[in-house]
Amino acid sequence: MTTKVTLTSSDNENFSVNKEITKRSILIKNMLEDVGKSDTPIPLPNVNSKVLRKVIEWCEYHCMDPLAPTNENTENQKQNTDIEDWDQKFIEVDQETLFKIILATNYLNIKPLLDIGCKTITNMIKGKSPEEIYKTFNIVNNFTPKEEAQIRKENKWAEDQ
Amino acid sequence: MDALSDTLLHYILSFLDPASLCRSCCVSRRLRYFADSDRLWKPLCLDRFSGRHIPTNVMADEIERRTRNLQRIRERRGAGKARPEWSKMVRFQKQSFDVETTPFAFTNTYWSWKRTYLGDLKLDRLQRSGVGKGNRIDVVIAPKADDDANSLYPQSRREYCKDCWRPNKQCICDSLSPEPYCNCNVRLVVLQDPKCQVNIGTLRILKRVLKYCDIFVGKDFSRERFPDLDRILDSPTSPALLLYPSASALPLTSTTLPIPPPHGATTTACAHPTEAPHTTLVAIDGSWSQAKLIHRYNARLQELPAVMLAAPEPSVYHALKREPRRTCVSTAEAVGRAVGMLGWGDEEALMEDILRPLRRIVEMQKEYQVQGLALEASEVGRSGRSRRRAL
Repeated sequence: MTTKVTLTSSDNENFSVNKEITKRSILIKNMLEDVGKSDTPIPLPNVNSKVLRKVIEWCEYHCMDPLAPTNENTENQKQNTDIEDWDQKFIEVDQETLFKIILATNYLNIKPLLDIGCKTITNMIKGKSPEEIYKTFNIVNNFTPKEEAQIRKENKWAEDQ
Repeated sequence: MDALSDTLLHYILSFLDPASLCRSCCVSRRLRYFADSDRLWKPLCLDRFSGRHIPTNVMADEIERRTRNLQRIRERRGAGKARPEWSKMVRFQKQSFDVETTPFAFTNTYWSWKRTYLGDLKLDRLQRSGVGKGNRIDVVIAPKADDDANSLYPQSRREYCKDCWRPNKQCICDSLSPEPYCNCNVRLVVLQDPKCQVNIGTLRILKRVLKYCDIFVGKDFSRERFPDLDRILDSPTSPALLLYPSASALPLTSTTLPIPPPHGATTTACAHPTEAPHTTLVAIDGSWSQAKLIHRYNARLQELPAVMLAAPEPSVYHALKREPRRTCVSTAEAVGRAVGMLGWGDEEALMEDILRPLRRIVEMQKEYQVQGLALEASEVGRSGRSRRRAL
């Protein structure tokens, strides 16, 4: 009986992972269920090895957590953007990696990790002025000056808060 | 950021608070599209406004006006070119005007949850001119007496006592009268300026003392805006009097009473109302300048016969607020005196019931002043201001 599953990243690096751990990812879980017992490595063309390593690290740490998170609490969690200590340290990466992790977890369908990534970005946006936001994320401001003035006026309310 | 798919971006933004959403609107077109979206703002709106009552006629008026406008635009453009928002308008017309399903603020072309949350853009102008067409504040009517007092002021962070509507720390429940004078024969209607909603509880005293007391919040009290108000003012059995010192106001003495007092009327507190009120007394609550504006811009109020107090006693409120003249008194006191004269009851007992909690409030506020609790004072001031702005 195999308890190991092989995952192949986009740059052809193989990761041999405990089967229990891969069940964190709904995508892989469904895949394994569909395929049944098989030794062929699972290709993950959207994820590179650096990111996959990070994701596996997270899954290994959280392998003891209850598997299926209940959906009832999601509304309450919405406003709560606190992140646990370990996760906080885990997610302290450069922005590019952070976005890649989010994309990868979205692809692999690992909701708790996706939430952590999203909350991190949310915390980066929170309380910042528009100027700071586009500096932080390197966004090009593509409004015309007239448009921008109008939008600023509409959203003036935020500055009083 | 560009690498994120639309779904992901939406998901990330759904963690944000309203102020941050507004700020991220100003960043780029793509962000603006998502940060403005109804899907994000609807839950925020429902969270904020749940439990508030929106009269349907206001919504209907607004929809009719907008539909007419759109119709005009359509005619001008030619029938062939329907605007994309047209279908949206029609859709909303069919819906019930329920705040749970329909946002009740417009941008130029469509209903938007965000606008609903933030309020009308025209609000500034409205406030400058004093009185205007309906805005979001007007729409929020004070609920009936048995409604939860906290739903009146859902935005405040402070905990409010459900009985006296004051912050829990400054509750005056123990000095309020235990039972309303339910056969005092006067129905009181208070028209309150929205800016004055942050009161320190004087209206609550009146509501507690008088059996028939309705509060309407707004600036424009023209016909058909408040169905309940129309019903009360048009009632043939209880003619309305306006308590306001206008130029034509008659001094209120027993000789100017419109109807002679019924025989043997007494004002003992009773548990069951036996008769409907004989007289309706309309009072305007607000600062003097606000009251003046309300009186001037509502022709309907000017048509009512006005009465004023002939020679009131100095107000206990003078310790707290300075009135323009020695003879000016607070709303609560004026109403108390007037009701005492109109209601043919034990005026002194009634006044005592009104003055006791009022003195208590004045005492409490003075205590804060004397103690020099600058912190507390600034806190009260700040929360008052910000709540006003949030509304």
